[in-house]
Amino acid sequence: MTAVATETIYLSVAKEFSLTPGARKREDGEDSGEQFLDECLAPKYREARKQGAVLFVDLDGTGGYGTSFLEESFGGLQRMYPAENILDHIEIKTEDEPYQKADIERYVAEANDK
Amino acid sequence: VKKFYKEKKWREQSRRRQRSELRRRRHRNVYLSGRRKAPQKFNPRTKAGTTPIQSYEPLPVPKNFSLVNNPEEVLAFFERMRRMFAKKKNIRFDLSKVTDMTADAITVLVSRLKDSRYTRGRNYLGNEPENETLRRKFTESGFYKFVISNTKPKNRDYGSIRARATHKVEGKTALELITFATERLYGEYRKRGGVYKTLAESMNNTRDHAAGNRKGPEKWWAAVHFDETAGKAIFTFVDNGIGIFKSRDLAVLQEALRILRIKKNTDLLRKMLLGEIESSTGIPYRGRGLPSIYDCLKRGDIRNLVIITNDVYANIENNDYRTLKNEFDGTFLYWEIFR
Repeated sequence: MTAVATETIYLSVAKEFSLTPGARKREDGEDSGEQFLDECLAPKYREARKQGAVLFVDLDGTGGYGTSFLEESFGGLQRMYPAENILDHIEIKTEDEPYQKADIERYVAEANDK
Repeated sequence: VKKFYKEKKWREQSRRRQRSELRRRRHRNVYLSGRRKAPQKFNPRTKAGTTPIQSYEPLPVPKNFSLVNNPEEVLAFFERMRRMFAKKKNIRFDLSKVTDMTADAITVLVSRLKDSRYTRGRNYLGNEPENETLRRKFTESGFYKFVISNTKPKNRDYGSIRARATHKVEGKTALELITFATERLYGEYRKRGGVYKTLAESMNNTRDHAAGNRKGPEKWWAAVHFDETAGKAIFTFVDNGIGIFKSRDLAVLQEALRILRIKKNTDLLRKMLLGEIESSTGIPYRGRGLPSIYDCLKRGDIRNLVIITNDVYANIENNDYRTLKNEFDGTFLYWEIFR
C-alpha cells in the first residue's frame, strides 16, 4: 500500500483548481483549460514522469466541464509531449460523469491531428 | 364716528376680532399644510394637469405565447415589435388575452426589450395576463427585475434570468442556474454535468459566432424557470446575434453544404449535431459544441431540446425539423430537466 501511495501523484480539479471550470483559453474566461494545463496538469505530469509515478486526476466534485476545457487540458498536454501517450501515465477518475473518460481518450488521440 | 372709534369699548372689540381672525387663519394654514401635495419633480414629458405627450400603440401578444410550441406566431410578433420600434413608435403590450405561456418566450421578450438595437430608445409598457395562473407565472418569472414597474412580486422563486454582455464563458453563472433548479427540484443542490456542459457550450457558441462582424461582445441571456406542477426546470439560453447560419464561418458552412450536397439549413443542423460536418469536410471546424449538447440529450442529461436559429426550428428529441417563415435573429436553445 505504501508503494502505491508513493508512486501516485494526486490532482483534484475541484480542490486544487476550481469548482467551475470554464472554456478553452485564458481570454475566453476564468478557470480556463489553458490555465489548468499550465498551472496544474502539466507541472504535476512532469513531476509524475520524473518520479516514475502515475498521475491520478480526479475530475469529480466540480459543477461540470465544457468540451473545450477538457480538450485544451488533456489534448493540450498531449500536444506538449507528442512523442509519448500521456494516458500511459495518467489515471482519470470521473465517477460523476463516466462518459468523460472516453471523451478525453478521443481528445488525446486526436490532439496531434490538428 | 371718530369719537366712537376712540372709545375703549370699540378698541377692545376690535382687538378681540383681530385675535379671532388670526386664530382662524393659523388654524386654516395648519389644516391646509396637511392636505397640500408634495411638490412634483419636473418631468419634461408631462405638463401639469395633462396626459403624457407620448402616445403608445397597442401590440397584442399572441394567445399562445410560447416560442417552443408556437414558433411562427411568436416570431411574427417579435418581428412586428421590431418594426414598430424601428418606426419610432412606443408600444403598449397587451398580454391580457394570453391563454398559454411558457418561460422561454418571456426570456426572449426580456432579451429584446433590453436590447437598444430593437427598442431604438423607444418606450414601452404593458399589462399582465387576465388568467390568474398565467399572471402568477408571469410576475414570478423574473421579468420584473428587468423592467421598471410598480408591480413587485412577493415570490420570485420560480424564475431566474441572468444576462451577460461578455465574450467570456462563465462557469459560475452556469453553476448558479443549476443550483437554482436542483434546489427546487430536489430540495438540495445536485450536480447536473449535462446541463453545465450545455450552458458552457452555448456560451462558447455565442462568444465564437454570435457577434459576426459587429464590434464588441454579443450579450447572452440564460434563464431557468421552475414548473412546480410538472416537476421540471426549464432552461433557456438566447443571444440576439446573427445566428449559427449567418456566422463568421459562413464560408466554411457553405463549403460544407457544397460538399455534402445539403440544400436546407435544417439538414445542415442535423449534420452539425451528429458531428458530421468536420468529418465529412476535413475542415478544422470548432464544432464539438453542438455534438456534445446532442450527446447530453441522448444520455438523458437534458430533455426536450429545442434549437431555433435563423430559419431553422428543431425539436431534436421529436425529430421535428422545420424551415421557418419568420426568422429568428440569433440563437435560441431550450431544454428541460425533470425531478
